[in-house]
Amino acid sequence: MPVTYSTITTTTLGSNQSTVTFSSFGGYTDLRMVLNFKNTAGGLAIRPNSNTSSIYSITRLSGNGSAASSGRLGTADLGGTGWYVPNVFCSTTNFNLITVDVMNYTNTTTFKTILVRANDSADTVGEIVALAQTTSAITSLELSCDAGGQLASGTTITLYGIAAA
Amino acid sequence: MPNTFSLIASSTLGSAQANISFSSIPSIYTDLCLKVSSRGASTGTLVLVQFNSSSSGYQARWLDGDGSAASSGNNSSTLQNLMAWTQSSSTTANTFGNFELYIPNYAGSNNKAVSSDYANENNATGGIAYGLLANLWSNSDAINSISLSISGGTNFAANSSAYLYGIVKS
Repeated sequence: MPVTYSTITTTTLGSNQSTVTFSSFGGYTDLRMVLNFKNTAGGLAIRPNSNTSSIYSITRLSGNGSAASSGRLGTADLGGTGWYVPNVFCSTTNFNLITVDVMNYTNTTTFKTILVRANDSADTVGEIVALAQTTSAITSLELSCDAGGQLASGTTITLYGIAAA
Repeated sequence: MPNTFSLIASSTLGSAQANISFSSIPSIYTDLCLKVSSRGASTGTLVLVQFNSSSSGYQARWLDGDGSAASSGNNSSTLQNLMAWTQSSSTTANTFGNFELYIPNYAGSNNKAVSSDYANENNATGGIAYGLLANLWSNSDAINSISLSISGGTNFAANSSAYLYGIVKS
């Protein structure tokens, strides 16, 4: 039976980092990124191919412990920030789990949509769909934080490749 | 190329039981994933999850829907366990709820964040149908056991099953 879910790379940050970039992940159908994540401020931004053009938008479904809600940020809000996980899903105190599914990332005909499952047990839990309006195949993923934040030391990020055959 | 998911242990109940437990979980994996198909043998639906038999330090925040409205709630660090919801005996016969716990860095010394999803469709209104949970166990110990029970003394129904996987990242 072929292996369909493989670790491409994993990294644990030894110090706070402004950016973390993954590349060289060809040969799969889909990608899954699993983060045991803490930051120093802001939300988490993920830029495919380090693209800083104003192509990003998100819609979220979330619960903050007292109410469920949905909202969105368009290209006018996000500009070139990247696929974006708002700061309410991120913690500066505890390492929380964030999973990112990037489907059909090598195709060159469709815009790229990802699905994010995010958890902060002290703030907000929910899911986010994020869009990048680019048909380019994704060859790298660059992670950073906005609001001057950094990915915190101890954060573990693992990139899995899923092969459909 | 190694398998990423490895089955550590599984349990399928031949008769109704109060608990589903996994012990002696080795610290050789990076993450744990527990996948459960379950149903209450009576009316209880709230599944209680404990690590290392500890009854303190848990907190949870959730987003759920019951077929008519979405809502969110939370419990602070006074919880004695983590939570999920399953089907009860009052729901459509033979319907089992599903939930999954994902525990990154379960053997590390940080507090343990746990992400869980649950789904309980039963072709009827009422009950918690679907939800997401962000959990935290504020404890630096490696997780070496997991115990599931249902509140109010409800047993798990026969044919409930749980599969515990270890995830290796290299």
